[in-house]
Amino acid sequence: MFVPFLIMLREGVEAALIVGIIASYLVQTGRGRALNAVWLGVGAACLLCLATGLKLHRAAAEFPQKAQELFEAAVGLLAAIILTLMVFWMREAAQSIKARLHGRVDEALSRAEGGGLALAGMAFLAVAREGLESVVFLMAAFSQEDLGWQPAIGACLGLLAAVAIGVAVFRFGRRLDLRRFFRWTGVLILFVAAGLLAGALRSAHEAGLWNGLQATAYDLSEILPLDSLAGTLLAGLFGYRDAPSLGELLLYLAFLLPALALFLRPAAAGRRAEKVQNA
Amino acid sequence: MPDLGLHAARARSSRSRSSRTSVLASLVATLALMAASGIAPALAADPPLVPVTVTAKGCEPNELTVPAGRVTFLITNRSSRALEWEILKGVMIVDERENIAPGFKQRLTTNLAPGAYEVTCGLLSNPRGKLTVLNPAGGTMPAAARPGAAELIGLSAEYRIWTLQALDDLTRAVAAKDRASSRAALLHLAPLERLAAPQAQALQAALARPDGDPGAAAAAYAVAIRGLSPAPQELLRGLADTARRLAAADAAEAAALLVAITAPAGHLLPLVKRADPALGEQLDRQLAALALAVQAQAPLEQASLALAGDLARLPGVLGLG
Repeated sequence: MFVPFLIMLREGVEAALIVGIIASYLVQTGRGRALNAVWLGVGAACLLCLATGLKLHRAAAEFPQKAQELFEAAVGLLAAIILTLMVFWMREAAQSIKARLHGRVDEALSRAEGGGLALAGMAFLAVAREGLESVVFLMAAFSQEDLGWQPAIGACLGLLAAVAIGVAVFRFGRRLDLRRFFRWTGVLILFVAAGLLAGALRSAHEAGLWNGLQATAYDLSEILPLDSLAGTLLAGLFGYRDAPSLGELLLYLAFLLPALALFLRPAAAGRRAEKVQNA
Repeated sequence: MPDLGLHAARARSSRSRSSRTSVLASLVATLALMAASGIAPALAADPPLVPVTVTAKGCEPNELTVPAGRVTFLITNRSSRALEWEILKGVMIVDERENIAPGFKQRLTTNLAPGAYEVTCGLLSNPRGKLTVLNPAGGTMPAAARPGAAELIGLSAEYRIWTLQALDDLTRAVAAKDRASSRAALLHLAPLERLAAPQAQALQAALARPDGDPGAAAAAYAVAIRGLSPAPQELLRGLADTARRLAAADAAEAAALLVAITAPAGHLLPLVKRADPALGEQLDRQLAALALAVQAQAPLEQASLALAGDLARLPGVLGLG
């Protein structure tokens, strides 16, 4: 019962994190009305997963793992790119804010063509990506006669916990003031994006597209296994893997370190000018 | 979560909402197509079921042997950790099943080509299992190395062109009353003789009579040969027969019989070399040695019989049963 809980928690946290961050971005920047599109994306993804699950169940078929990996690789890459662009774009936007001019951010958001649409699409893809993985798992969970309802209960609890984490991210995000919010969610998103990127590489390998640098970088599967609570949460938040390949680790670091340095570099002219004004 | 921030949602303009909806709808459609196209092949006839259990120490059994084609593995996780079961070819993942929780069973249906594979067995530190995939002949030679249907049709087509040219030579030599060339042309078609035996014997008899006219017998033979469309197996059997005939041939016959073997070999050997490189090289050497022996009028018996033996192996090597 515990492992089904953890698996659903992991898939759920990964989706909830992205949806929660997008939702709090929208609310923070006075674009709460765009949340509608986000929920539409989430709902569509849930329906897709449900339909896929029912269809597979009725056909008594297995999910074609290679197709799934290909889908996950493409979506992971797309998500990493969009999240990164969003973070840096909001960083610039936040710097141009004097005091609390939400309107400017709103303007920045609406100036970028289809910004809301991109966010809704992100929500859809984030949920569909993790959801399809969960479908495979839940189908297996419901077909284990000898274990009764335990795995199913565990899985549902895991999903609920993931939703709770998503809500917490959302509420926490909404309570922070704008500058700190952008700063801390930005850092968190960069970790998430690095994890997504490394995950996309792994999926590409599992889909048969990429076969280089497959030596194991390190093996912590005895100390901090992926299917422990801590491992699961770290995986959801930072893309932690207990035994990544060299390629995954290199990609993770090659993305994360420069991105963090760029993101956290002291803002040059903008911030100084603002300080003068505030003083 | 749905109660969050919806207060402002009603102000949404219907135009942008509909464009959004259509994009999402198309995304859903794409994904549904993706899922459907991937599932369809899995609905074919039931493949063999191969159970494998993963414990904390490794796979049980640790060595699996399965027939090529579609196979379903029933993976039981008896370890205490969630499991990812992968079939590997080198570092390449051929297929896998993820998230098998402890105590769970999951199925993995996959299509495997003949060859040697490894499977992961739980923890990274556990020894990997061996998976051997056999072709119908019981070997692990990949099916891809065997000639495809199109290549075999190509082989037959090339041989048909050669046959028609040899028949032209025969008709011309008979019309010119050149008995030596007529006999040689007849021998050039030796691999097909078995399939038109009565007409071949009649023509041989006519050519043997110093006073007779072989024209009618040659025409009948040409009609019989033109009407043939030998399958690759029949051609291979004819070649082995011809090699056996070469063992007992006199000098004049030997040169013509060797031509009868080497002409189709030009198209056949590349296919053999791909399926069984060693055998292909050996046939090359035997044909070269025989050509030298025929030229030098040296004894041919041993080399010819060895060639016949190797040619007789070709149907199996080329997957022609």
